[in-house]
Amino acid sequence: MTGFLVRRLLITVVLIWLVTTVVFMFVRLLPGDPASAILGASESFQPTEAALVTVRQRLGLDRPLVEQYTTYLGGLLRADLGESLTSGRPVTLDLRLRLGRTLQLMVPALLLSSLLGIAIGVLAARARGRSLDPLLSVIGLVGFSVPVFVIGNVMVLILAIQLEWLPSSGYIDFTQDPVRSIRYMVMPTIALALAPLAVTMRMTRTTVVEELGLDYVRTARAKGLTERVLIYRHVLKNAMLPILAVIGLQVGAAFSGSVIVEYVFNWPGIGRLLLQAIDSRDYPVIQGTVLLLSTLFVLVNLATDLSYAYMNPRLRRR
Amino acid sequence: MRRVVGDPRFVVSGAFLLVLLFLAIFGPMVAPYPDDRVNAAQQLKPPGGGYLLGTDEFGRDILTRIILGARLTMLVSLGSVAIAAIAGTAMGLAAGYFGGWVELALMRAVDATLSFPPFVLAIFVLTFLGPRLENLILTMGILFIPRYARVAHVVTLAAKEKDYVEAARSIGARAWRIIGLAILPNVFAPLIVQISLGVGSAILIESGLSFLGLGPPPPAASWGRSIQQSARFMQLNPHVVIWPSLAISAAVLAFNIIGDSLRDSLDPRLRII
Repeated sequence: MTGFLVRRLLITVVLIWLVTTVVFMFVRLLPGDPASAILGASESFQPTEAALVTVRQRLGLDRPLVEQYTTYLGGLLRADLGESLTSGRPVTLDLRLRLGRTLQLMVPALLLSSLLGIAIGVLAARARGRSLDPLLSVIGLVGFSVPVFVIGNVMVLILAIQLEWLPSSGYIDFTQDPVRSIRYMVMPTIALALAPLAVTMRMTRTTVVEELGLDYVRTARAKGLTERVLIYRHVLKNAMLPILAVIGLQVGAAFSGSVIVEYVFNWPGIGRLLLQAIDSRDYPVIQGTVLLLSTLFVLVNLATDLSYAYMNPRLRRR
Repeated sequence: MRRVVGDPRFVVSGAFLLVLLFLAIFGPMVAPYPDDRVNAAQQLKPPGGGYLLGTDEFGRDILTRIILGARLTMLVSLGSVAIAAIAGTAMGLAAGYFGGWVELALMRAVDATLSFPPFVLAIFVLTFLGPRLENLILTMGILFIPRYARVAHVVTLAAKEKDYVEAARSIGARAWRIIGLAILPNVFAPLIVQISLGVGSAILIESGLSFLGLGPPPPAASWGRSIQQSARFMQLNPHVVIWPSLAISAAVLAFNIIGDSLRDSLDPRLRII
């Protein structure tokens, strides 16, 4: 296990280095002037010379590439991602604030999707051959086919505009007013949870159905185990590996989902920060958010792999 | 294949996709109105009258916008998946068949691609490349390579051990001949399932990027962007977002259903379920 752990950690370090390097190199290796790419030059829009000079100086684009790269890596090691071109604040300050708010949606959404996904998946597997199963299959299929912004709009139309139960968008700090804060959280959390819920449910159904056909299940039933004990103590335990892998993938995918959800519900998280920075062409902030999201993505993959190996010792030897 | 054709899910979704493909190709010829007809007198009309699905905030016929948007969606999703499927399959076949450093290099490149969150990376890349159609297709195509490379790699590893491959090798067949005639046919079944599901997720990503304003710029009709632009008016005129939303959802659903249906009939291991 130690060998596996060390190897996996080393790979993770290499991947994070790769991610940071690709993000650094991308604008600099584009054909043409990196400063005009950063400012979004196109056939219809040419940034002014003054703006180009400012960006070059502020980002050090006029210095040799190697020097830029070492400065950049050195900054990363000290958790220094530079300063925003628009507000002048350190990027890490905004990232920390915004990440917390994104997690405020992601953690409840993923808990909800995992628990409900497994529960409904088991229900569907046990209902096989009855009308409930195809019904749940269809709901699952629809759940991961409908874009998250469509789900968001539909909820706004029904819950906010028609029924006026919930505010349509916005954010209030939890410590300021917990009740109102939660009312703002409900719709974005559900919107974010729906797709991973559908995927988890489908995977749970498939693996549980597969398990239920195995010999040990017949033996367990023959010796008189109740269905509840059989499913939750034995079948689900064996089915857990692929389910866990799928949940890990959903955590990674939720970073993408949250960019759109935060846009729809005007939620001031990290995804909204990324889009705002793109609008104002604030390169250090764009770079910082992409680095943070990619690094978290790599770490989530690591966590999934490790828990996978923990649960299935055979995988550790690879 | 007979199993698939008898599957009502497959028939219904397949028919829908044929209509979509037809609209993507012949859209401008069958659309009821020219697309650029901005008409202040006809703003935000509800469905009915001369406008089957109503009009948007510029007085444009929504049915026309949806028909013309089909082209962008199909072009981006089919184009990117085609790039990914061809490049990924070639990489997976080469890695699996030749092994050694070829395998190491190709599959490590695949692993590295997978370490980026695809949607966030696409946003990053398109911000600086510019949201042009070809950039969108190419970026998404590269991001989709891993799933095809992995499928082809696994299948090739298994097929390589088969007697008929050994036989072909022992009579002196060239590598490309063995790969093309003995190994590639094994890849088709899982590949076609992945392609169908892949197009579904490509449509989701394309519409998401267009929704965020990172798709091809106006005047190109795009389902995702029309939802974003019309969302301000949905309180009083829900039809402006409902129709394009239905178009995207139905297209993704159809590809996913076909993928499911193909998997049930092509993958003998899952057929038991």
